[in-house]
Amino acid sequence: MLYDKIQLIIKRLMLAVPTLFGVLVISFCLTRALPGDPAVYFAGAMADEASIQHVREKLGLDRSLPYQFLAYCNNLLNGELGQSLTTGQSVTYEIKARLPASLELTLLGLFMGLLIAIPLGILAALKPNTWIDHLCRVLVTAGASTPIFFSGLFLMFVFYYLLGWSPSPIGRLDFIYLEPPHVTGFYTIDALIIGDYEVFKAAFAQLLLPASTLALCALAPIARMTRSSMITALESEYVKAAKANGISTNMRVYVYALQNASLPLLTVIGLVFGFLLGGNVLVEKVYSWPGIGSFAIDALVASDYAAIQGFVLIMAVLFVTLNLIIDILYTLFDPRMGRNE
Amino acid sequence: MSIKAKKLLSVSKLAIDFETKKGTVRAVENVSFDLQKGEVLALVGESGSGKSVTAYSILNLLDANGSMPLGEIIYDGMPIHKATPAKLKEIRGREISMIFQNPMSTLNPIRKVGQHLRDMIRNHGYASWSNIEKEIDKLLKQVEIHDLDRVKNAYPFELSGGMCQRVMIALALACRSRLLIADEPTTGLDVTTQKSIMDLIKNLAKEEGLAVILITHDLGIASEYCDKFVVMEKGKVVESNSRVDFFSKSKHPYTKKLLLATPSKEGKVEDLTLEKPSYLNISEPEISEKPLLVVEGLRKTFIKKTGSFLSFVKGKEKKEEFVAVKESSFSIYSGECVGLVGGSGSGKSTTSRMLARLDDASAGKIIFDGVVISDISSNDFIKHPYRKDIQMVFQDPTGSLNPRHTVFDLIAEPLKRLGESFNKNSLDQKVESLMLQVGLPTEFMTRLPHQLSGGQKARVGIARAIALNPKFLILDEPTSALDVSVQATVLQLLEKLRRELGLSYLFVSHDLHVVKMLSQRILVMKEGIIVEQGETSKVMHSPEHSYTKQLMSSIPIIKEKLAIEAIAAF
Amino acid sequence: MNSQTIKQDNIAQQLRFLVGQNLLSSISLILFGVYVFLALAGPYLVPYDPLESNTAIALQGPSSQHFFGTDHLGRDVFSRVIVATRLDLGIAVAAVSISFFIGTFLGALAGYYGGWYERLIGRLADIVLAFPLFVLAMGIVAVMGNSLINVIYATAIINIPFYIRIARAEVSLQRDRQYVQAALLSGNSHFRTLFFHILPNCLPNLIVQISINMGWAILNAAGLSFIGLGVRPPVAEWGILVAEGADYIISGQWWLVLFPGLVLMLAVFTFNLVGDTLRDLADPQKRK
Repeated sequence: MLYDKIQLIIKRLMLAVPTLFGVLVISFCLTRALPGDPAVYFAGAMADEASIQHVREKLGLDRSLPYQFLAYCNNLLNGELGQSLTTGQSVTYEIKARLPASLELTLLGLFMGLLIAIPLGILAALKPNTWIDHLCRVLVTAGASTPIFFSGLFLMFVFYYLLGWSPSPIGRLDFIYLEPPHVTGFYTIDALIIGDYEVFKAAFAQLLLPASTLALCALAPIARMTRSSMITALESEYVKAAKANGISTNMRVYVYALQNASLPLLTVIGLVFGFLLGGNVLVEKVYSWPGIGSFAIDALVASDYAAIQGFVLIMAVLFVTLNLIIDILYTLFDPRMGRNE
Repeated sequence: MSIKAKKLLSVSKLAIDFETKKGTVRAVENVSFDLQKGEVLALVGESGSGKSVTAYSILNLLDANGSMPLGEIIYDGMPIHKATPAKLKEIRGREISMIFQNPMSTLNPIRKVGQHLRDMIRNHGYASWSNIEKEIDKLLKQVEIHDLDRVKNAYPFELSGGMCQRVMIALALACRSRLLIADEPTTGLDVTTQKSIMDLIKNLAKEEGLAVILITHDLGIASEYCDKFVVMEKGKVVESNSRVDFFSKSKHPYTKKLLLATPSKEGKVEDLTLEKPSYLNISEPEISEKPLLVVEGLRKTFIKKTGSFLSFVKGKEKKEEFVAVKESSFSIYSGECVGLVGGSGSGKSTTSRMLARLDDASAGKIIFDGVVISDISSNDFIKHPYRKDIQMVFQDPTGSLNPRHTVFDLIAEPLKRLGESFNKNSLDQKVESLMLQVGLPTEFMTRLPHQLSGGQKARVGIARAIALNPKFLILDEPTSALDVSVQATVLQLLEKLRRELGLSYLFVSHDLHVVKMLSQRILVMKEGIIVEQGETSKVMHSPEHSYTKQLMSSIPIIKEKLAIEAIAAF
Repeated sequence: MNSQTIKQDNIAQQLRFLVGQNLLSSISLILFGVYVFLALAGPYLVPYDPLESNTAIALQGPSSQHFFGTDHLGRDVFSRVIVATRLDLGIAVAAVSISFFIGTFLGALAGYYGGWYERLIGRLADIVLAFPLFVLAMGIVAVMGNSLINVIYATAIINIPFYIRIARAEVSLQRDRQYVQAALLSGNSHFRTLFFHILPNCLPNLIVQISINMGWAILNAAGLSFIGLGVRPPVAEWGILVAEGADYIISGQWWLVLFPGLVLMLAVFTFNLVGDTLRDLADPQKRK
């Protein structure tokens, strides 16, 4: 059994290889499909003829495409994503510095979404076609229909402008506070590590609005999936049989049905994470959040291609990794996996 | 104990209503029966008779829109039709248990068998922590499961359907239930598995005094295992009799119809209905000298890649050959019907697909009308002139009809594709005459499949198959999805068509008693090999192969032969 | 002929039934009609020229003259929001049609023929889906050039995998049903069987996907223009209108964001609800 599972996990890891390869090919194509001479873009605006030539050789633009691809992969392996035009730093450096800010935001958003959506979905599934189910349906559909930049601005208007509950919605930390020393890069966690609750509270307050915006966007698919897979499980024959055998309601709902329903839920969480990574870009713009999303937008405006490609690649790698983790969890939790392949 | 045993369950004048969008519908009305300790009661009826709903109401398992406005259900002196939810919870599983159709899906797919039993015992507080495992072992042994450790640690999907049903029975017995409600417990299982499960249930009734309500559509099973019979039709009880009286004194015409339509060991296809079918005056078609179809050494293998991913990397991937059909040889003469019988996985469906040229054979020859058609790939055969000579009637009357096509479209389809050029008028006429030939009213022409009954759908499938005047028709379990009374008429239709049109059939089925009614010769298939073939009467009366014998003995049939003849004579 | 009328009758009946059952469904169908009407006739109905600026009346709140107020250049927000309907829906319709045709075609072939072809197509879809889709769309537009047509292409590309998956799953499910074998026995070629017998039976679920995708496509396009990709000012587009208003929200000029945002949200809401309604129609069992 255990041996089977390990084999399956290895298989999953192997299956991710062609996907990653495909991701590399696409992002390579994105670098080479640029209008005009890529070397000019990658060398930067200040470059003279000599440095452009240098870049051209380094990227192997004078060589065959397969060679160029290998050179591209080689550069990636060395952590080289090129120079950013806008900041003058290497793209790798920029992404490393900004990634924790984005992740902190996205993960909190996802967590808040799960916290609200799962009970909501279960509630709706337990009382289908009652007012609570309809309310859930309307809320969820409205959540799925709201453009993320709109809900972000709306929350900002209500909680900052009208009510004044939220701190100034700009950046990760109000300027009166000092950044906590870098350990994880998550301000809230770093502040807790040194025991500075003031900074923690300030950082958390800054996080709350943008994270809620993301949570609103995550709500819909999670609640919908919880509801439908719970209903499927509750109407299944094994739950009916358990009822006929006098198994208690709590056991039926929270053990029999929920266990089965949580498997499809796991898949949806992966999907939602992808949503949030995209939505992150918009939220970061609205809240001037110094993550990789706002970095990418600045890069877009300045036609800073190396930065954009680095951003797209990193996002894809993040997403593939998360989906891989979910696949592995699924393999571990579902006894049926690997048996009837 | 008094001589007259106390009633364990008594249902009287029960009515069940369902709230639907079109108002309240009474599904079941005036149902009464009772049951004693150790008795097995059969609740028999065709689809839509209300037999399942009746059984569900005993444990109050009706859907939320169902209610019991009239009647009472008394269990052991207790009125359980008005029991509180708490009381019901105690009765369910502890006093009365239930097992269902599809045992695979009635067990929680991600819970081990042992956990199921533990849940059950703990939920009813039956055993203490210390002896719970012993208790479980005892239960599993009681349902004749012997490799205890494997089964306890297995997930339901790792067990066979029969094994799962045994586990369900063990669950039902876990808290010493005294009444077992079995809702079509063996539908979908192999006949041999069916026999062992039913034997087990019967044994429990005899040895432990378990009372059983067996809900079934199959009078054969009922007659083999039950002491009491309740027949339902359209939500009403039409017959309620003890075993002795049921076969000799049943009066209701519906009961008689059912009794007649149920295949028996000696019965002929014309005996399946009270009225003698009209085809009897058509003489048997002449059987040709030369065979129409010759199959030589037919073989079909599927290659399955197995082994771990690592072994694939090392280049040591195992390629496992799964042989579906092994070197079968037989021939069919024009005008005759040959039966092909076997259990699930015997390769009979694969054989029929190859003969229909929907699949290519791995080896061997199919010679049709003197031409080797196995050399033509199934792709090219679509355009081959022989395509219209070989047609097929499918098992699933619903699935085999395109849900978006009307009856006219469905029957006209082969005519449009492969027939001679028809103009609109002659096409209409042809379709009309085909519909009349299979006994479909012509006003059904514009109906969609979902507006037809099961038997009507089967008729459309048959009309479509004979539209091109084929020489050879493959009948792939054409009646297994139908109620017995409908099966009877469809079988008679097939017999009529064979006589009228001089068709040759290959009749594929799992049910020997159905096949033998139409066939002149029978092939018995097991694990891809034809283990026995011969004249029908010979195979039926002196089977040689042990598998044939096993098949014969495990199919439940009505043994009360005399009684049936008495009814038929009536 | 006859079959056609029966089918339509059925759908009409079911529709009436559904509308009677569910208030939300009927509201969504009405809204859907309103949006289509605005997209077609919007530009002829608006009270002001959406591009005409008049700084004298800049940043005025909603009034009887200007229902949705005016923006920083004194343009009438109401007119701009209405006129934008055609552009936003146009982008969505174009993108969704491209992805529907390409995705369904590829997915149907994959589902029907299986084998290496199915694996290849499946892999390709997986690779596209390995990207967070909005991020991929950003990358595509950035590289292919910042223009409207590229926004359409990018939106189409990120939606293709969904049609591939649905068409593949549906077709391979239907392929095993016996009516397919019956069609082959009746002399239909594989091509004909796939496109004339199987695909029509997969259509209901594909149409549901179209409706839901319309919502996504609108959101996606608006999101791209919000961060400055695709459509550019001064053209009126919902995403841009919100982006232009974003700078004024902290100072309390809420109408610049609220009205275009609400109209955009309502559009997506409508398509999602219509999708739900169609799903009920296609499979009444799914939502009990």
